[in-house]
Parts: sequence; C-alpha cells; structure tokens
Amino acid sequence: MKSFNALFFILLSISFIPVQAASHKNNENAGIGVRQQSQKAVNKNIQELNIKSLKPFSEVFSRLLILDQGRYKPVDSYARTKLIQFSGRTSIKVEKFLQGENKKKSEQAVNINYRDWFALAIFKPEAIYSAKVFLINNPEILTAINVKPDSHRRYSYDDLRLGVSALNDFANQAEAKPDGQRSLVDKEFIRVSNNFHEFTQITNSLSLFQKKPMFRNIAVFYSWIGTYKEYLNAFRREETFAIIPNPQLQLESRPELEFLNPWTYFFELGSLNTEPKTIEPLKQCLSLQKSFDDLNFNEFKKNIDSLNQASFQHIKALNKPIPKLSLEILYNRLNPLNLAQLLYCFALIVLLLASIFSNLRSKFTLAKLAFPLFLTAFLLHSFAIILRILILERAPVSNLYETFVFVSFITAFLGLVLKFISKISIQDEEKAKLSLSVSSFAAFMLLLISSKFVTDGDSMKVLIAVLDSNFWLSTHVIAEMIGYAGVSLAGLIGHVYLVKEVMKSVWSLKQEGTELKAAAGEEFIFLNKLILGMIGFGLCFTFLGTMLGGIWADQSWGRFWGWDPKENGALLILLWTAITLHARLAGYIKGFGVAVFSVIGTMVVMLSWFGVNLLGVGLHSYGFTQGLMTNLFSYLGLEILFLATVIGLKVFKDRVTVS
Amino acid sequence: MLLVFFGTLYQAEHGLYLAQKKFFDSLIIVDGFLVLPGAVLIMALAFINLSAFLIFKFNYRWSKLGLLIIHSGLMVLLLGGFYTLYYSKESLMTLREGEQSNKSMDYYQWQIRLRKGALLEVFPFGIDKKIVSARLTSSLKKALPSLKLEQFYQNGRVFETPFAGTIAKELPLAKDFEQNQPLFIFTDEETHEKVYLDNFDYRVISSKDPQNDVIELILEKVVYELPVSIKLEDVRRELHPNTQLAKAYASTISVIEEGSEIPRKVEISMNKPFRYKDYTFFQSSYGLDSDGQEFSSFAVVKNAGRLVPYIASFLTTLGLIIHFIAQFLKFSRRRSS
Repeated sequence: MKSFNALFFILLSISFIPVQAASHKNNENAGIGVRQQSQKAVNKNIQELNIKSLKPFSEVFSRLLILDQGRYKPVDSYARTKLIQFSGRTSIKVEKFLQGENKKKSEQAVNINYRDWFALAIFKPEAIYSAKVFLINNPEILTAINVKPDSHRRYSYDDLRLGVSALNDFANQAEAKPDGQRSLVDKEFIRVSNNFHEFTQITNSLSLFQKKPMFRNIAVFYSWIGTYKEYLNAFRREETFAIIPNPQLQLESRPELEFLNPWTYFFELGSLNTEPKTIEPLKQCLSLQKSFDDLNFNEFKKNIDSLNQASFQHIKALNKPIPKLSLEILYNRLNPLNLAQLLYCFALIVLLLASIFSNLRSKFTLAKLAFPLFLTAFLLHSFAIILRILILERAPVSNLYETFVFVSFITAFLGLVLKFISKISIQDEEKAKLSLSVSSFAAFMLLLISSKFVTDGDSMKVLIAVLDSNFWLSTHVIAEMIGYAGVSLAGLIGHVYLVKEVMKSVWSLKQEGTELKAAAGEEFIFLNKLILGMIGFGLCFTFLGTMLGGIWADQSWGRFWGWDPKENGALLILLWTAITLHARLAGYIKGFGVAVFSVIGTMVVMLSWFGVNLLGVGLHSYGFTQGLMTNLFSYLGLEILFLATVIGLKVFKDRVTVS
Repeated sequence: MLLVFFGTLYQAEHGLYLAQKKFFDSLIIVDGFLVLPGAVLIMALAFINLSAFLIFKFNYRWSKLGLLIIHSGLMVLLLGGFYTLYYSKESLMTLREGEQSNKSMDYYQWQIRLRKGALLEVFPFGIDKKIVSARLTSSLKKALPSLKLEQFYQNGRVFETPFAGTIAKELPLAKDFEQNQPLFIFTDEETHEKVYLDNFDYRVISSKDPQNDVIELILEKVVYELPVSIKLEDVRRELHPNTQLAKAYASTISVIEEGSEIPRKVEISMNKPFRYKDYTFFQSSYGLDSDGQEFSSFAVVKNAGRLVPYIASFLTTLGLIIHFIAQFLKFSRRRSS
C-alpha cells in the first residue's frame, strides 16, 4: 500500500492526467472497457492521421534505441522482427485505417510497412486491431478456440480476442508436457498464445498514457492500478519495449534489468523516493504520446532524441560499446542479402540462356550482362557481411544462418578467382563463364537456404557463452567455412562434369565425331583439374580449421579431440577428400570417378554441416531450426538417385562400346 | 569413415561416453553380427602404413618436401593421440564459494574403499558393464564374508515408501554417463536382510568381522590428489542484459601450492583456463545448490602431451601450404611454357 501511495503522488506530480468524466464501470474490465474509452479520444483527431502523415513519425520512431534479446538495437529492427515473428511478412494490410467522415476511403485496405505498423501498434493500437497479423498454420487451433478458419491463414487481434481464454488453456496444457512429448498442435498452441500475449503487451506499451483512467479519488486509483498490476504480472513480459534506462541500476527490486518498459518503470518507481529526475522518462513518454496524438512532428522528434540521449548516456556509463543504430537501419532498409540473392539468380539465368542460345547472335550481349550482375551481387554480399561485422562486432560466423551466408560469399569469391585464373592462364571465355555460373548457382542456393534459418525474423542474435571468443571464432570457423565452400564447389563442378559426360555418351551413341571428341576431351580435362584443385583447397582449409578448432577446444575444454559430432563431421570431410586425392594418385579413379567422389564430398559436407545438428547432441549443436530434416534427406536422396542414374548410364554405355 | 559415421549416430542414442568406449577407444567392435575394427586399431594401422610408406616407398625429392612434412605431421598427430588416450586423466572438482580442496573426482570411475581399523584397501571399478567383475565380487566376499551380492544396477536408487518399506529400483542409463549412480544390493546371510550400497543415503556399510573389528565399505567416485589446493573465492555469471541468456561465467580462485603458504589469486573464465604443471583447470559449470549457495565446477585435465597436437597441426599445415604452392608453381610454369 505504501508503494501505491507513492505511485499516486508520482502520477499527481507528473500532472499529466486529463481528468475526464467516466464511471467505475470502465475500470471493471480493463481490457475492453478502456479500449472503448480510448476509441472516443481517438476520434477527435482521426481525420488528420493518415498513411501520409504517419510516415515521418514512424520514420523518426524507428530510430529509437531499444534493448531486446540482450542487444541494443533500433526500433526499426525490433519492429521488423516482431512483424515477421507474428505474420511471417514485413508488411501488412490495414483495413479501416482511415475512419470517421471519409467513409469511402475507409473501405480500402492499405498496405503498410513494418515501421508504420509498429508506430501504430505503440501509439494508436486501435487502428491495427483488425489487421490480420497472426499467422496460424494449423486450422485445428482455430476450431479448438471457436474461430472460423480463413484461407489466408492470418487472423487479427479482434478475430482471436474472444477465443483467448481457450487458447491460454490449451497452451498451458501443452506447456505442462515435457518438451519431447509435445505434438505439432501443442507447439502451435504455445506459439500462437505467446504471440498473442506479446502483441497485447506491445500494443499496451504506452497504454499508461493513452487510456486516461480516473484519478479523482484514491480508491478509484487503487482499483485501477490493481487491475493493471495483475494484468501486467499475468504476462510477465518486462522485456517487451524496454526503452527507459534503469537509473544507475539502482532500482533494487529489479537489478537485473538494464532497461525497463514504461509500465515496469512506473511500477518500480513506487519503491523509490520520488525525485523530479526519476520521473523525467515518464514525462517524456507522455509527451511522446501526446505529440503523436496532436501530430506535432517537431515535438515528437525532440522527445525521441532526448530518450535516445538518455539511453546512450546510460550505455556509456555501463562501459559498453555504443550501438551503431544507423548502420543497422541501413542494413534493414537495403536488405543487401536479398538483393544479392536476386542478382545471383539473374546472373545464373542469363548465363544459362546464353549457353542455350549459343548459336544466336544475341549471345554476346546476354553473356556480357552476366558478369556485371554477378559482380554487383558479390559487392552487395561483401557489403552485407561488413555491415554485420560492424554492427555485431564479432566474426560473421556464429550461427547456422551466418555460416550459410558466409560460405555463399566464399563460393562467389572462389568463382571470381577461378574466372580470372581461367581467363588469364587459359584465355578461354567459355570456361571462365562456366566457373561463373557454377559459383552463382552455389551462392544463390546457399543464400536461399540461409533464409530458412531466420524463421523468427531475428538474424542478429546474441552469442552464447561458449562462443564468446572473437579470435577463435573468426579463425577456426572461417577456415572451416572456406573449406566447406571449396569442397561444395568441387561437388558442383562434379555435377557439371557428370551431366556433360552423360550428354556426351548419349550423343556419341548416336554418332561419332573425332573432332568433337577432342574438343570435349579437353573440356573434361579442364573440369577435372578444377575439381581436384577445389578439393585440395577444401582439404587444406578444412584441415586448418579443424586443427584450430582442436586448439580452441584444448584451450577452453581441455581436450584437443573429443569425438563430438561436429568434430567427427569435420573428420569425415577430411577423410573423404584425402581418400579422393589418394585414390586418384593410386589410379583407382580417373576423371569420371573423381567427379562422382566430389559429388559424394558435397553430401558429406551437407551431412556434417547441419546433419550433425539434427542429432541434437554434442557441444556444437546450437541454433538448429526444425523442419530441415526432410529437406536434408530429400537432398541426399536426390543426390543418390542422380549418382545411380549417371553411373548406370556410364556402365551401360561402356558395355555397348565394348560389345 | 564408416566407423566415425556409425559412432556418431550411436552417440545420439547412447551418449558420448559409451560411444567413445565402444567405437573410438577400442580395438575391435562387435555388435551382433557386425564386426568392425575400432578406431585405435585403424589409427595404429594408419601409423604403421605411414611409416612403412615413408621408409620404403617415398621418393625423397625437393619437390615432394610438402608431402613429406604433411605425412610426418600426421604421424606426430597420431602419436599424440595414443599418448593422450593412455596417459591423460580428466576429472572434476566442484567447489562451493569459500570451499577449499586439493582433490578432484573422476567422471566415470568408481571405487569401493574398505576400512578395517587403520587398514585401508581400495577396489576401483567401472560401471559400463551390466555385471560386476569377478575380481570385485571376490574381494568384497573376502572383506565381508557375511554379505552376499544379490544385485548390481548401473543406475539405481533406493526409495523409502510408506507402505512397502525400502525399495530398490533400476533406472534407465543416463546419456550423460557421469550421471549414472551405481547401486549394490547385498543380503546379510545371518539376518537375511537386504543391505544397500549407493552414493546417496547408503554410501557406507559398517559391519563387524569375526574378530569384532569394525569394517566399513564406502562407495564413491575415484578421487585424485592434486599438487595444488584450490579455494573458490567468488563465482560470477554474467547475463546478456534483460535476458536469462548467459554471456560469460567466471571464477576467482586462490591457489595454494604444495609447500607454500601464500595463496595466489587467479581468474578462471570460459576460454581462459588456469594451468599448473601438467594440470589445466577449466571453468566447466556453474549452479546453485539446495541452500541457494553458488558453486562452480572445474574440469581438471592432466595431460603432459598437450603440446603434441599443436606441433603436429603446425607441421601438417606448413606441409599443406608448401605442397599447394609447389603444385601451383608447377601448374603456372607448365602454362607459361
């Protein structure tokens, strides 16, 4: 009670509460009653707020610093992550965005981006309650909570609101089960329920300043605060929208929180003596909300700046590196990896078209287009990786997502190197193009795979404790990844070799031409050399990486080698590449065999890359996303089928020629 | 390759320790009809093969210098592996804040200590087999003739139930092999009562022999004495802000060397161990005990050969570089000519 008294006086001293006539009834049901109330208040200035006037506000708002998932980031990243987490997309359709007099326009749905969506979620949640934000894949969930399933699989807050108690019951029941025994439906219940509550929490971040409860007498205040305290505790999401620095970490009840959200700050203040300084952040939040309501842009910007300034001072006082918000916003907006992926794909298509229409004249113009495309993609790719290093201040290889991005980068780089080597030393444009198309295919595929690893939208997670060593992380993992890239590329060239071999054999069965054969023979020798070079390159780097890993392990766990699955995986790659090279030296395999072996090498790489994470044991099994097992197995199956076909054809052809 | 592949799969199901015992530290693996050479045998063969190759068949020329270095590096690596396999010792030291000790516990090896007046005898044993070795059985029989070993569980507990009295129960083997707790059940041949021996409430059996001397059987993990004594001053866990995700673990310890009086303060954290002679102490885990007191576990590794793999990897990498450059030079020379 004592702390509540203090709270009451804080509120009075902030003196921001617009006293408005209302009955106790509104307080009885905080969730709905208060909403209706705010709806009224919203209507006053609703004409002015539209998609155009919102833009500058959401733009400035996206630069606010926020602490989320253990990392300081701009609201821009937070908003993006959350919208992807809820809906799987970065933009959303908002209906009834414009209300009131302009009825005609209100019928239209507007597509807004994640920044606009988030600004509305914080400052004017009523506007997005009807937006279809929750992606629910399993219709069983909806049947269970009495909501009509929709073919678009996305549902709004308003759709789910009535079923939420049932949703909670099912989610609690599912959470009570041990992890291994939860069914897919159970997991979906938990996910949807968590998303719903997080959404509610986000949209209530500033409700303290929006819902204008009654403070005319202390009894009403108590009943109101009681409802909200319960409401807040029910969700326990103190980490949502944490924008206010914990003043010198002196709030004794919450020493572990470095930043607080406005609600938590408000409640924790009750345990403090009320100084004007400590109330300042709440005043700023109020002013922020007010300037948004009044569409007063200058005031709004001023508030954001002063909130940010306080946060930066706080971080400086804690002796932590200053977050690079603008770089991160640039990274989000530009999305260089997506662009690069697209460009690699274009380059590949152009090259393929050029080789298909190789008889036409247009070939030259087409083929000339490929290299600039590839180069732009490569530059964007490097830019993305550099940005990530700058933002996160660590080597860009700390989870599966980043490893795919990085290996993709290395394959592109190797492609460029090979192109120049073949151009300079062999002076053969055709062969240079081949290495370009192979590496653009590899880079494109790997980037495509990488995007599967960020299902929850956050690609910049904090490091777990074991990995917190920049030197080893950068040397060991990067060497290992370069090795992976080399062996994978060798495998891809192996594919090309095999396909050509099959095409040739089919061709030569029909007609024999000695000249053609000689030309083809030279090409096969060249491909074979490329494969061998890449395998040797991969072997060197995988060995270096593995040994560095051993040294790191000896430094931090006390053993050089522990038969951990990932270590075994690296060993498998080493053994296989060594076997390939030795078998060739001993004459067991020649061109065809080397190609087959290199394809198997790629399979070994894939198995050890994320196959071992599937096992879920060992020291390296961090950050595995489910659902990739089927993809991995279908890849392996296809590969085996391919090899079987090729070898079968080869054997068949040999028999035919012998007989 | 097959071996590593199956060994890894086996590990997923049965845990690292058994997989390592069965596949990697053994000479021959027998599983039903499948008979495979173990990793040790293969590596020994590889070593013999490599040395035979280098002695008899290798073409000693400057252009093959890289290859020579690579393969001798690999031989050193294998040698280091054998040495580590047979001579390194890993153990665990768990300390609460303020506690001091110079003993560390083995992860997997157990022992039964027999105390008879001042006389001490120690019977070490492992629990990776379902049965007790004949030697241990006979030693126990000799020590306490009145006890007959009825049952042995690799992982078992004794429960007190309100109605059925004391019940012994076998539990499934834990994947983390060090968590298995052996349980011996004896029958006292005079009173026909059951006598338990485990690592919890029944860790000591005391009895009297015909001469009326008190005999005690004590079950515990094998304990090693270290040349240093370690006192845990402080243990800290740093979290990523506003989350429960650990960012770092660190401990401050005082080291008291044998024959020395003055404690020396040392910091141990992840990726930053403390080394003393052949011993290395690593931050292994952190936790709170039932009284809410913080404790810290250190992995204690004794390995005199720990520098061998460093040398080997340096050699091999050097060889690889030399060979790669040599090949590349050859390639470009051929091109230019």
